[in-house]
Amino acid sequence: MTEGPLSVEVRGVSKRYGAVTALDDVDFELRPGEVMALLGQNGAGKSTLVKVLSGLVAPDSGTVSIAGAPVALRSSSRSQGLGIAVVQQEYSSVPNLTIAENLVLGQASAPAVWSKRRLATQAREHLGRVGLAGLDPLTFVSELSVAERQLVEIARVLSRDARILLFDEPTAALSDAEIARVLGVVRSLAEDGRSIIYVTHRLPEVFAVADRVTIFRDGRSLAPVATSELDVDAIVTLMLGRKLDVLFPERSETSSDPLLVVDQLKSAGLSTPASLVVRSGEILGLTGQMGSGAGAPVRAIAGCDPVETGTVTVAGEQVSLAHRSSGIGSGIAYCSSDRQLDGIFAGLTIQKNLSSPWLGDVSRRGVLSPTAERRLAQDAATRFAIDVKRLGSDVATLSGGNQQKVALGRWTAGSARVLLVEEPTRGVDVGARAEIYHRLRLLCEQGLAVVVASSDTAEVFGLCDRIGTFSRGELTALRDHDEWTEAELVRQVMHSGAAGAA
Amino acid sequence: MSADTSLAEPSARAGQEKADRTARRRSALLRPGAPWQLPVVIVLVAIGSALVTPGFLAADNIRAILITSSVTGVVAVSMTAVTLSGHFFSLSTEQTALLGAMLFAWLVGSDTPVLLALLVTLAVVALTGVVQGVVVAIGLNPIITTLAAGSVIGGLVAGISHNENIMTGDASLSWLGTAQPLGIPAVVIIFALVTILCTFVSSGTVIGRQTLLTGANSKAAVLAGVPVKVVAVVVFAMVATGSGLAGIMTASTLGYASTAMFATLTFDVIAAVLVGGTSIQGGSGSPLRSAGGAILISEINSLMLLNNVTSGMRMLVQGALVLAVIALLHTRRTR
Repeated sequence: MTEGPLSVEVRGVSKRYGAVTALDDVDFELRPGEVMALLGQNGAGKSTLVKVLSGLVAPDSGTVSIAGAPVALRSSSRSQGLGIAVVQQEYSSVPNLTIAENLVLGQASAPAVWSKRRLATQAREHLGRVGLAGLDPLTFVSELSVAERQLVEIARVLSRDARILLFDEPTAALSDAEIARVLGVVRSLAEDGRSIIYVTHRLPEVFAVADRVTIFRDGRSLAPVATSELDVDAIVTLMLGRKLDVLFPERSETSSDPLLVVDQLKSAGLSTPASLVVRSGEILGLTGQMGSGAGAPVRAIAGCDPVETGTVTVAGEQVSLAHRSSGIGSGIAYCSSDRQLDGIFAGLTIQKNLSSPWLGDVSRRGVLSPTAERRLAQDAATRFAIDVKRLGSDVATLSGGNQQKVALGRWTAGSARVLLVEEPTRGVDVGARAEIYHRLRLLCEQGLAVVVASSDTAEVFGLCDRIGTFSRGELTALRDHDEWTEAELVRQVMHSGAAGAA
Repeated sequence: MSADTSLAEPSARAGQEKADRTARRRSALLRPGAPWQLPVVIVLVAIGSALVTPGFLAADNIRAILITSSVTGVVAVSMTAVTLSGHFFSLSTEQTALLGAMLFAWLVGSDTPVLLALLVTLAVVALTGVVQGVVVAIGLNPIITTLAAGSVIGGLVAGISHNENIMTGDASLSWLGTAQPLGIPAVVIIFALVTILCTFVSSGTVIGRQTLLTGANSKAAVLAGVPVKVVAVVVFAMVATGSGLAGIMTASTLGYASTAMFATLTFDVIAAVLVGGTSIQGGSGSPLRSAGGAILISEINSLMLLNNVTSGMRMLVQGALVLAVIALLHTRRTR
């Protein structure tokens, strides 16, 4: 490691979003030629720091220095100008352009008119540096594998001559062999003298690639530690100790009759068939990293993903998994992870949003009953603490947290018996978060079976009665809440996939 | 990040909320495109026209305005479901109306009972709509699908009829074409009935609500169990049936059908839907609005006719009106 000024030095940076403190007096440093792993649970502040360094977010206070000189990262172009580059995930390349064309995208110095041959020559040089020397630069990106696209992303950053590279979970969608390839390139870039920040959830990668580790917890940073001084247990211990800023509701007695039975289910995202049983009055939590397949059973049971094999029964009756509407007919409610995109009908009233899945329940021979619809909407609104007086307002006029409550709450009206929720509190402030947990628990007490798929292990551990972990499309463990400790759960989620994972 | 009103102090928020509601209601009333505005504009244009053009409000002229708006109006009202569902427009209304007019005239001309001819014609045009709906449900672009379907239908009709006029040649048609119970022409009554029917289907039935949900957010609609493919088939069947009915109305009124008919129908219909204020993106609007749009356009056309404005100028004004309304209503809604 070379002596001299630090590549990146962050001192006392804070960032608040309304009532939420994303970064609280954070320090961070990066030496030239080093790979620094950035670890922490969801919401610990990792991505906010990445955004600060890439110029997307202005910190409220604190200083950032690059190569010893204090800088103001007011925009992403300023950040790029200082040699900082974020390696986006593979899907940010344009599939219908060639590799060579993708490499010049977004480059300030790109010529207005270019010749294919000149671009290809330039591209070949950069491809060689990321281990893709064998590829023709005139290949369309759409023909590449996921790992190759990820490497093209890296080449794109190199073509801008970036000295400081930020990798944000670059291997989420890759197989083992592909990961090894990406990690190899990361190491060789560091040996070239570039400085690298590597954000990940996967501990094996940390030990394979990082020189030092900085751990974030609740928006605060811990001092960097050399990877050689750490082991898995030490890292998990450092990452935990998250403040219990969210009060989880108490668990209640679970009745014994199984309501939802999933037998040998295999669908998109699952490599091995999974079997699950959820009792009435119980919350089952499924967790894993991005791309681990934790959400796959939920989507398949809902009838949103094609199913290869397996059966699902609700109260003993087999459910057709062909369409979303047949699931709704069997009382299976499903709330997707991206509610802004596919959970809310913006422009329509709250009442129309709440009644949307249950039109059959509020109509007779195809004609809607306004009184029945209103009653159903009021019922759902009361249950999820949505202002009943505003049922006639456009749902888009509500705050984000309240929109989430509408998206979730509409499933509690009508004839739901099983509620499937992906990422129930993503993008929700702390107040609404506690309320959503509370409502989910209440629904359980009314006899529903609830399945929560979430990448937030703290949430799954705090809320659920039983917890299953997923890795690489396989259910790796399924135990009662009392048989887990949070540390064990985090270790299972982060470390499974490595040989002999505990 | 955003304030959560339901979590706020209850006593403090009551007054605030009342003020909020009043403010919301006021801004909803003033927002361009609020429901009361179109009827008011229609009345204001009528009064203004009467002031500059004597005879504008004469019973005969009002009747003429309503008659000219009925053919466009029937199609516009049935087109609204397509627009509401987020499938933009059907571009095959001209040819479908022509098919309806030709088939109906031929059936009646060859001594088929009028009621039977009516039902057969409507069934055939509805079928063309179902086919287009199925193609759109499979995933093809609705604009291209209906444009192509229009070409196919128009080509078939022209080929079979050899571009000759087909006479209905039957006196029993008179009730459809020329009856005026209480002084109201039959076509206007049909326009009114179709408007009432489509408005009821749109706002009071499950399929109507499913249409609205599909248009507001088709991904969310799929997750809420809305059969979006069925919706596509139904809305295209609706517009085809409406177009065919418009063809029957025209053939009955004139006593013949000709391939020269309906030359500007598709544009007139789209203009009526847009001027009525139904959102191009879907999810907002109503058939009743489109009926108002058709009447307003017909009213302005009548004013220009009475003042000897050339046909080119009339087209220009209609185009400008559509542009102005889109600028006023639709651009505000794009997210």
